[in-house]
Amino acid sequence: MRSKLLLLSSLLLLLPWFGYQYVKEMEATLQRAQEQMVASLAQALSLELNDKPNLFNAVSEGKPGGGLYVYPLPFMPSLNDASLDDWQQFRQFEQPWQEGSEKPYAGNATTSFRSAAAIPGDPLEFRLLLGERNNNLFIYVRVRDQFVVQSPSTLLHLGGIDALELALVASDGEASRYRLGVLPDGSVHAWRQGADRQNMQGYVPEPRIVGQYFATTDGYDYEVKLPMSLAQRSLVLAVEDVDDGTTGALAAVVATGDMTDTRATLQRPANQLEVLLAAQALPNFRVQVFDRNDQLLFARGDINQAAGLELPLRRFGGNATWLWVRINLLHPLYDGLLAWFDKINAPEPEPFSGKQSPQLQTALQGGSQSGYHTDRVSGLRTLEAAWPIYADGVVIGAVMVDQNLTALHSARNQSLSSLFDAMLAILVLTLAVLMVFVSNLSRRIRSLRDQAEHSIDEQGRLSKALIPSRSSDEIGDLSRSITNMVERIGHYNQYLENLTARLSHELRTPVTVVRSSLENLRMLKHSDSEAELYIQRAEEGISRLNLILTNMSEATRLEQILLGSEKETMALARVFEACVQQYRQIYPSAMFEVDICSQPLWMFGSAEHLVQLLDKVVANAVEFSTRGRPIRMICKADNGEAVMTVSNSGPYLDPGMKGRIFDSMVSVRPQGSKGLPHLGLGLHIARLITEFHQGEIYAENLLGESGVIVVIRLPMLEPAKI
Amino acid sequence: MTRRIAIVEDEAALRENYASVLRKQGYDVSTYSNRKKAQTAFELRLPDLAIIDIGLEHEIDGGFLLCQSLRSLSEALPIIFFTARDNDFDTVSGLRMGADDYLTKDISMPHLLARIAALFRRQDAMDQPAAPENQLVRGELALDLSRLTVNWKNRTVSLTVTEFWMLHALVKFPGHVKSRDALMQESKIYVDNSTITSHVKRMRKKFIQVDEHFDCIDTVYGMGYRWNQTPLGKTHD
Repeated sequence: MRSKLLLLSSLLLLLPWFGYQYVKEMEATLQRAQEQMVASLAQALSLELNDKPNLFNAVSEGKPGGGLYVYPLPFMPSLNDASLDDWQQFRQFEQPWQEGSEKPYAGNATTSFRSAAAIPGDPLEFRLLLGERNNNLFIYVRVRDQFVVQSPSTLLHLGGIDALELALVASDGEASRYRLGVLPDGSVHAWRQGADRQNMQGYVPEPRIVGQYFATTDGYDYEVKLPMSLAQRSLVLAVEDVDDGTTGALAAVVATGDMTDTRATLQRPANQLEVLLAAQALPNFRVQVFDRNDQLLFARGDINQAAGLELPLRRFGGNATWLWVRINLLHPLYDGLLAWFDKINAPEPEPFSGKQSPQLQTALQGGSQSGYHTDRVSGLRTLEAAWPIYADGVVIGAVMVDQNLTALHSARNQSLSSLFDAMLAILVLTLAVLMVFVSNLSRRIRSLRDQAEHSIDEQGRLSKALIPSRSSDEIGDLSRSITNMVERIGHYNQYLENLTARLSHELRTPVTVVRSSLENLRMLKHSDSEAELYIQRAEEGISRLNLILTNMSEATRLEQILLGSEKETMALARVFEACVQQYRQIYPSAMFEVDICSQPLWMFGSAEHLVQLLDKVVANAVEFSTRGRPIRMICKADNGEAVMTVSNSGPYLDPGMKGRIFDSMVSVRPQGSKGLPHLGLGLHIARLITEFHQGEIYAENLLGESGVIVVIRLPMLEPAKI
Repeated sequence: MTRRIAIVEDEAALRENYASVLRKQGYDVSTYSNRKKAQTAFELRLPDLAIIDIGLEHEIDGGFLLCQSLRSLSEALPIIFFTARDNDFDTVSGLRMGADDYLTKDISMPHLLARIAALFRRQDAMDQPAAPENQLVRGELALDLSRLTVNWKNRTVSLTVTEFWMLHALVKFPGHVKSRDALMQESKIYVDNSTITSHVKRMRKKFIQVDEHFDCIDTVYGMGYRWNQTPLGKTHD
């Protein structure tokens, strides 16, 4: 019953599932709200930028065929972190340069040079990124070079090593060339070259250009910062490669253009954008403006920080233990579960290649769209909305606003955790209550069953009255009707047991009539001897009938006598001994083997009835015993009880009859074998007497030889009471 | 003078059977089928002896009621209960009502006649002085065989005829064990063993009423009973 209940109550586990669905629904609603907010912001920003084509001109006209592109950095890159990690989100914009590559605007042989000193199989190539922040230009160069040659000592060397050269035209139109060297600690220093490039003595340090250098697994990286004004008009960058440190011979050079070119203007997205959009207070968003070549013009905000919704983290309170359980056991479990759920419910990652998102593409084609995007590397899920920017009815760019969904997600997980906690508590409570209820129910049913089982003993007689339950429910009802039923069976049994007595009583009067009539007849003094014979036969029959009637009522009479009998303290062993002596006289043909223990076996009982009991059992044993085999009688103490056994060899008892031979009117004698009537009341009387003494009587088949043993166990007096 | 016997019995055949036997014995017998008829007749004239069935027609205890009213009319009138009921409870009740004997219908005609004769004899003897030749004395016990009375330590113990005969059988040869069958024969009844047992018990109780230290009737288990003149290990006074 309990296991079935557990099975049924597992349906309760559906509740958390519905809770999860509900919270998901809520999350979707919140997401839509966020989506609209993001979309309307994108729209508002695009309206701001509409019909301002000159903002985009500087860029739009620069490409293709313009100078190097400078990305607006939303942050200030660090120059002493020995990595380029802070450029992460711009890496996709890296421009590759290599030997012999056809650069779009170069068209100039000097952009690539390779001498005989170069080691074959080690092509020089590098990747370049330019960024602008607070009127500073940041240069990011990743060089691939197998043989790195750097300054051998603490002294700065500028010749015969791998170096970087910059050709700049400042805002005042002054052109100058700089050579960048590296100190062993990784710091980058720049020297302005004099008129004679070969005369290193004429180089002047330029403190405004600073940077860091660090080796990588396949080359080295530069990260350089200089004021924007130095490169305002033109910038060309060359990487020189030396493969042999001892000779210092130049192996290869790759440049972004002609080093003498003074019109290699940098392409910078209009600064006005920044001015314009700075007016908008945009916390919690990342705003990006692209031109129609989807070149990023402006970026503001960090996607990792743009959490959108600002939901306060809830603090869990309450009992410390419960809190500990929740935080350390339950919540990790939920997180695991939710992650698993999200995983199976997650949409297919958008086929998103390159830097363009579908939203941006739509916007650049004049539409507007918002959607979700999962970053492949970080797994960050973002919400993006893009809006086109028009000038004279033509799309000149797009605004993209995005936010990450982390806050919403964690808010959802938080409410789910609370929900699960509550549901778990409810589940446990419900289960406990149900368990108690069902246990109670099954306990009651079991007790009823036990009662019902014990109310009728092995012989089918009523042994213990049932106590009807007083509760008003169905089980109480069942208990009462079973009690009722058992009572009726009891009445019927009683009726059956009394039947013989009633029958004998009813038959006695007609028998007496017949007998007295016969006696009268005899007194008539017939001379007819034949009549005398018949009268004699009739009298014999009548006296036999009378005997039957007497036997029939004997048990009932005995019961009544027992009710009025008084018990006294008596020594069972002495009574037993006296009886055995009599049996030897009464049954001279039978042999008795007797074993009586020396203790007196004090007990509280009625000796006369115990004698009657033994009479019945011994008479039975004598009748069934095989002639010539002894009847064994034992009287002893066993486990605080007095035990009398009477065993005889003879036919086995049918196992089915074992319990029943002590019942009223049950006889195992073959029909008509003896002249005397047998009603099977002898052993019934034996049982009545045994029960009167709170003892038990039973018969077993002997193990060794064919025969039966009758065992009578009677309670003895405690030694203190003798 | 012819003795008058009243039979109150609702079973007509039985009533007439017994009546005819008794008439043959020279008694004057009148029969009644229910309590009302008998009571009316008794109020007019008392019989010399009454044989009463307990269950009379619709009255289950009619015989008991009749016995009570009869006893109130006469102290000495011998009353015999004669019934098919053979349980101890009814026997005790009947004797408590003041009946002189309680017989079951198993009893044979000659035994019944012997009892009636004995009762009449006792009645006759009551009117005459006690004859010493009819006295049987065993220590403190004195039996008057003609009056059927018993004295224990000079105090009367009132026994029924059956009980008297049983006691007589026991004390005739003190110390001899009398089996239940022998007791039955002597007391002219035929009942089963447990009834004998209760007869003996009742007899003991009657003695104990007179003398609470009475312990002369021994039970010999599996065998019978014995009158024990000097109980072992027990001396009184």
